Amino acid sequence: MARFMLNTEVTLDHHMAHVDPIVDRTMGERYGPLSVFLSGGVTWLVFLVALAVAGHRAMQLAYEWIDWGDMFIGIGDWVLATVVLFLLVTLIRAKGRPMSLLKSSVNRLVSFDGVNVGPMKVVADEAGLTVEYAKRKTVYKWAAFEALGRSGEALALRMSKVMAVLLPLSAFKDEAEREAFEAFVRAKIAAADGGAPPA
Amino acid sequence: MTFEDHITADHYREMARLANPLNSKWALWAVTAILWLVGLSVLAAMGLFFYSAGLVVVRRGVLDAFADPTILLLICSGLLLSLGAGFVMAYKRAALKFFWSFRRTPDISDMDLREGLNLGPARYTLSDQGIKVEMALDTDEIRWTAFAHFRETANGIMLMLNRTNGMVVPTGGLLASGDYEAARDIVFAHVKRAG
Repeated sequence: MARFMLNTEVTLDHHMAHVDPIVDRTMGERYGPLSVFLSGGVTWLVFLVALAVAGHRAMQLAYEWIDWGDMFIGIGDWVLATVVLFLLVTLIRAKGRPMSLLKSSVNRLVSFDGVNVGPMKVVADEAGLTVEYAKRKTVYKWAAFEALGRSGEALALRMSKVMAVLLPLSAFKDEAEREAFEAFVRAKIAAADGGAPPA
Repeated sequence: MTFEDHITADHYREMARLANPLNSKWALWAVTAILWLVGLSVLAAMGLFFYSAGLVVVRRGVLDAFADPTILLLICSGLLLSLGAGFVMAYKRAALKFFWSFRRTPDISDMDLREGLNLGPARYTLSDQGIKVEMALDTDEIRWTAFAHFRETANGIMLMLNRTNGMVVPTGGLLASGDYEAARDIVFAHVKRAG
């Protein structure tokens, strides 16, 4: 008999909150702890250098205009202007955080409409957890889950470091229902793991 | 149709390898076409340049023309570029191998695969609606409409949700039992094959 039946909708934002720390951790493990700062900082650094060069060149052109009454714009100037414009658009799109572009592209690679994004039905019972999207239905045994945690505005039933079933907090009527669900899931995971449920 | 098989990490490595765009056929054709285009453009541009330089030399005399160092520099760089383009066009395969050497070895450690969920024995059921995979820890049913395309490899059929992610269907057992064609026909009827 079903203990909990929930109807909700998982969005890309829910996935984003889950994917963000995974990307940070993977980058850190692969390229070192400073990688996240550097990969974002390098874009800013290149942009500022290009902006400085462009500013300097603009001043030169202004002096040419004053001295000669004409400007001598070469192909290099167009390349420089294109680079500055490209970096400016990139930084505006990333809202000043270049890493967020990488994270959103990773998020798009692992989020699929009707498969793990969109309206979902969740049924939790003694045997396991059933998750149904428009194009996918999965029945998990409780032993599939390692832990219950939070990813932004969603509960995350974690199966590994990267895999999780995301359940938006808005799926619950109130705090009491959410707390009851969390207690039930924790007890089931602990029991499936062979341990006693946490106090 | 129902069959059983065993999913291994090698299946995911195959999927990761296929996800690399440099491994697909169209990439090979695209890179080859670009190399030819670049090579021909450079040769055409250099031909025009040498023709113009020749005219300058004829009109101004050799000493006068080469007194201007920019002409000498342009001719030298033109010769180098032409040699480079000629080499790429003549040794296309060697040039492609050089570019290919930069591709990354598939790394599946980021996937954090788990026995019973992603790896291990699996029971597959193919129907007109979709595919059902029963494993030790979960049962997954996905409609055919969820898949963008499929790819065939030496060890499996990869039902891809997008360019990089998908579901592994091992075909070792199917090939051994002679049921591979039947399974492939069902997939082919509902999912398009990757180009």
